[in-house]
Amino acid sequence: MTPNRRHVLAGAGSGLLAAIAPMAFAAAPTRSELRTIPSSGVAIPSVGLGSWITFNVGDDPVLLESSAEVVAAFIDEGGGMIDSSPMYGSAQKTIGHALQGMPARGGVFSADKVWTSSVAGGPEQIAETGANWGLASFDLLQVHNLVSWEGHLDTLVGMKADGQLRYVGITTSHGRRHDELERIMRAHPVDFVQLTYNLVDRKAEERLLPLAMDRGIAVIVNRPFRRGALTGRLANEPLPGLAADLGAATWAQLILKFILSHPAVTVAIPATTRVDHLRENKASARGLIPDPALRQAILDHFDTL
Amino acid sequence: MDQWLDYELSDFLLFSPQVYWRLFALENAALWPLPALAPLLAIAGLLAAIRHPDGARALAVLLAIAWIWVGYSFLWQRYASINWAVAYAAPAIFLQGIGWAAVAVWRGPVLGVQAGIIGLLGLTLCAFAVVGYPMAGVLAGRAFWDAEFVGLAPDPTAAFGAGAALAVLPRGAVLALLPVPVLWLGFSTLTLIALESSQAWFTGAIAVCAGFALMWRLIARRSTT
Repeated sequence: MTPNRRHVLAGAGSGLLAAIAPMAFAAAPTRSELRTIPSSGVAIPSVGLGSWITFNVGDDPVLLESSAEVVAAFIDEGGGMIDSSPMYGSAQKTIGHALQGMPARGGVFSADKVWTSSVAGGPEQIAETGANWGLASFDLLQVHNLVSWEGHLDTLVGMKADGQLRYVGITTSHGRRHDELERIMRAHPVDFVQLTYNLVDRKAEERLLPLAMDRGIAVIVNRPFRRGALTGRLANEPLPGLAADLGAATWAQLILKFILSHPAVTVAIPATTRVDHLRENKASARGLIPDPALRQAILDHFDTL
Repeated sequence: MDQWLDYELSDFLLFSPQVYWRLFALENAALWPLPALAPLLAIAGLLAAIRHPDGARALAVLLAIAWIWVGYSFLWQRYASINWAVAYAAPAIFLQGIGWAAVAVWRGPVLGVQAGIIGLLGLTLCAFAVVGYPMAGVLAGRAFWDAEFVGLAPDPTAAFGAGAALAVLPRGAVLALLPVPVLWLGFSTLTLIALESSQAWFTGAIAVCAGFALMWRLIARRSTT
């Protein structure tokens, strides 16, 4: 790899010049850290925060406070999307605990899900979710893992039309049910789609990511590190030389830069219990993002490991 | 249906190992000095059952209290907050307690330690439940008083309950009161495997032994005792 190689700031081409949403960031994100939500033109930080496993801590007072510290650091680093679900145990309550006492929404783009096979039970579950967060309304609600999606999508679209919700989304993970998700993306008015995408799970590149770009659907990337399995696997592997050129000091940062370099990706939502990892994740959105040549170089290097 | 083949055990795990093991530490701290007393009561109940037929009724009372308490305090109040699936198991745990209460007041043939290998297996499982679980915690690097104790945590209570059922109950009562602990120990083994805990071997072995004993009692000829 030649150190004089020209790097093109790719991946942020989805709209760095879009209008800034009226979100109060404790530390204002730089333009390279923002992506545009296609359906509204609103900008959002490209690295958010997931809550699967990490924030499911029950009533443990020590772990509740450490989770609150992670959320506080997240807001300090510019805030953005925090994503959760009723499926994630007590994660919603942990987020609510962390957001207590913070300024209204505290620089957080609130994203949660409806997850019940009962369509009639959707509104009640959504109300309970709001109570758990301590919020009257959400920025984004998504149908979780396509469970009873037809009915729930109608509910969410109706809430959006009534002004109770800003965005509607739908999710899947682990590369499952992509065919069904594609049909939904083609036929229904969703603002966001959430799916798994990383150095290993790249199936979304085939159709879903291009389709999201064509349809103006924002993409949320879950499982960027495969719940730690990917970063764990790479822990003892040396970073490629290009990582330093990109400003990536760790595999986690390089993986996130790879993910963010796809033009369809709006936000990645790594989850963590550690403040240092949180800051490291947020830092990956700053500075250089790989261009197509560097994306391929990263993949080529990864395939040798 | 094919999509379920893509799922791994870890996909069903909702919490981290740290959160799971801290449940027991928090429970023990909240209930102190019960973590020290409960195992002693279990041993006393077992000795009473061995020495005198009516002692088995005292053991049954202790197990009824233990099952109901574990179901309420640990499963319902604590574990269910991080694992919603456990809320569905709690009713079976409560019924187990009611079952042992029924044994305590049963006016049928006198209970007593069963002869032969089944009785010996039952006593062995009880010993593992009282001693093995705390030691397993220590071997895994956890503090002794953060471990799982019979009467307070579900796994050792299930192991002790399974052992006691095999040791002191006639065939019909065994068939009624052994399935729930076997199923719970199996469920817990899968949880421990997903947590990548070496304790899965220990709990799994107990589940397998209790399961085989249940099948043996199911197919064996009716005992005259």
